[in-house]
Amino acid sequence: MVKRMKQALAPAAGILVAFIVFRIFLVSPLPIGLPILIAAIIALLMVEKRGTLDRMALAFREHRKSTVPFLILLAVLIPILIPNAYLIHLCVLVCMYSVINIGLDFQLGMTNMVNFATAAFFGVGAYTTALLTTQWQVSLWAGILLGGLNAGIFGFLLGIPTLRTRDYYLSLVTLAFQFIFVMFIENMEWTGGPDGVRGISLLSIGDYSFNDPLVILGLDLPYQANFYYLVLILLLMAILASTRLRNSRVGLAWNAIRADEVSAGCQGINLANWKLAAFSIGAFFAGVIGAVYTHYVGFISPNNFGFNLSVALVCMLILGGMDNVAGIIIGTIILTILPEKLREFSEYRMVIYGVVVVVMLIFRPQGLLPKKLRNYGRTGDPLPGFPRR
Amino acid sequence: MISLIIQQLINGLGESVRYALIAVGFTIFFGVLNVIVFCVGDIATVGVFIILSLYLLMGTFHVLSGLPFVLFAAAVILLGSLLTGLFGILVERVSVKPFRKSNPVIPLIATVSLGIVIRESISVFYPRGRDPQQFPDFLPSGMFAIGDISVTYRDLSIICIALLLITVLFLMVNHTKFGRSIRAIAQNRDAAVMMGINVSRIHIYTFFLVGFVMGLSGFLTGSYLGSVRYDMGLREGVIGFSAAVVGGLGNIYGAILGGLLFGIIEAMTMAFVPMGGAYKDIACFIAIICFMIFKPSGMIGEKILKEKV
Repeated sequence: MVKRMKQALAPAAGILVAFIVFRIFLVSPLPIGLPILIAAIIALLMVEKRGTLDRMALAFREHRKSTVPFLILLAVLIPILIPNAYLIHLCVLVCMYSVINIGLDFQLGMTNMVNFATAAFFGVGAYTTALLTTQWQVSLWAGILLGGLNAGIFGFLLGIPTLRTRDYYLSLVTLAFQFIFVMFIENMEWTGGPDGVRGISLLSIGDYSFNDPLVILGLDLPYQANFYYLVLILLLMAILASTRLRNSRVGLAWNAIRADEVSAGCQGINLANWKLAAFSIGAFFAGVIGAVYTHYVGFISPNNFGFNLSVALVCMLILGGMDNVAGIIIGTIILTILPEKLREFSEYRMVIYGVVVVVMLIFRPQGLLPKKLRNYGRTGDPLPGFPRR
Repeated sequence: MISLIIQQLINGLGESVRYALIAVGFTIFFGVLNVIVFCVGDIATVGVFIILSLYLLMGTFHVLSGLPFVLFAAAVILLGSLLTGLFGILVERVSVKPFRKSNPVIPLIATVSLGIVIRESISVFYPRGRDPQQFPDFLPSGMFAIGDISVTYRDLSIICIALLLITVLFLMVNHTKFGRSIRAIAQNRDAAVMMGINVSRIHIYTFFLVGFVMGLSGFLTGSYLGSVRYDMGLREGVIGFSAAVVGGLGNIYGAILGGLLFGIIEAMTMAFVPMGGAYKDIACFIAIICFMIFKPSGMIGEKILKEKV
């Protein structure tokens, strides 16, 4: 009984520690936040070396009926614990980028298809809803859905050339699409050109505008909290979708394609379908978030969707660890908040991104939290012979 | 009409040869290493800025100022390119050597990130690095005309220098011992090692050589555009990469052909599409995607560098 309690409490304690580290990192200025972050990473690596991390992950999964609600509760409490508009804004960004990265992970992490066009999909969603709602008076929520769908369609179309190409060629296609998208937006009149689209209305449900301060239990939270809860719901949905997909035959097919495309094809996996699915689902995620982002900031311009953002998203994925939702979110948190802490050196932002990625790739190419072996059955035995890459 | 087309073709040729140079860089790297070194364009940018700062520094401190301008310019350019070659070795150490045994996508991402580091470092550390910098006129000015068609001496010398460089590279790869080692590694790394070829050393030589050529190509780009920017390597690099792929990766002829194609596409878009200047890049990228759909192995086919012994 005591052992069972201990087992149940260990993951909860782990979550709590991680949350406290996150909170300190979010709130405190750089000279305090950075050493704590580094200490946390070192601790993580040491814990991993002793195998505690694996056991904790296993315990987390075994007691998911209590651990998952606990995690969600902490996430819900963030705006109440940190009632600062700017910091909540950062949390909104973290959630948004996490969803995009979970979508990108379908391509990069699970299927090993490099995609440098994520920012373009993000932009497709953003521009779709911006133009529809400002010029055709489409309802905002319909705009968000259409933004996501449109990005999904673009993902599908971009997926078509990828069926015949691999590795570098594929990355070149996505790269070309990324550049075409930005140039196209900049040069067309109906997209607003380099000035972008202004005066996009912010979200509202019925009479309740998301731009009003949120009042919960007598607490006056800044209006960003509304958006935080919205994107948190989206993030939870994305996590659910991602884990379900990963544990289904779809995820298995993607992983098989990653391991070896030819033999996956020989096993009867329809390469074309699954690759297109990876592209369109990932693009759909990015598109929905792009649309929400548009209605969050109310103004978009081509600069928001450049190549640098695409690379930054790939960097977050690499830092955190691919094909692993927890890793993705950790990488996103670090690379979203760290540059904001470096505001005084904001010019060095992209330099830091690049250096972090090169250093990570050299010393720990699998990311902070590497992906795990697939588990089959209740016992959690890894499938023998499944390649560990 | 005909003269307009010819005029545009000649203008396009100046672009073409520069793209071809960068594409040859990509192709040699791919042939030798079997990975894409994405920051080739940025190495060229580094070259431009090294040459520019050398020129300014040597002008300020009156180093070699007794020489006639032609010799002075040649000294600056050669020294700058040599330094760029050394920078190329640094690139190899940081972003290629550590990943020799990993998935080929990893060095691609590493070099993309390194490209960002290079661009942003220039913009941060070079004085007023975010603004376009005036590039000195090393090349002769003036022009001559044949009928309706006018050719500037600058374009002519850019084309000549680039063609000369490509020829030298080509001869080096095909007719020297070093070139034979390169081709051997491209064909079969293990066999090359067994034949006593020092692969690490050849890697370093290759990066130095390509870095040197990229320094010169950066100089040509700077002279062609008249001003240089910290982020110009990205666009040049992407188009150079595309040229290499469209021609067939690992194939020097293909790279030259690809560069030519993109230069011509740009020139033709400028000439025949209204407001073409804005759409020339879009036309190029659409061409890339079309090629990837219909002929992913490139115009000539990839890896002739490998097959030709």
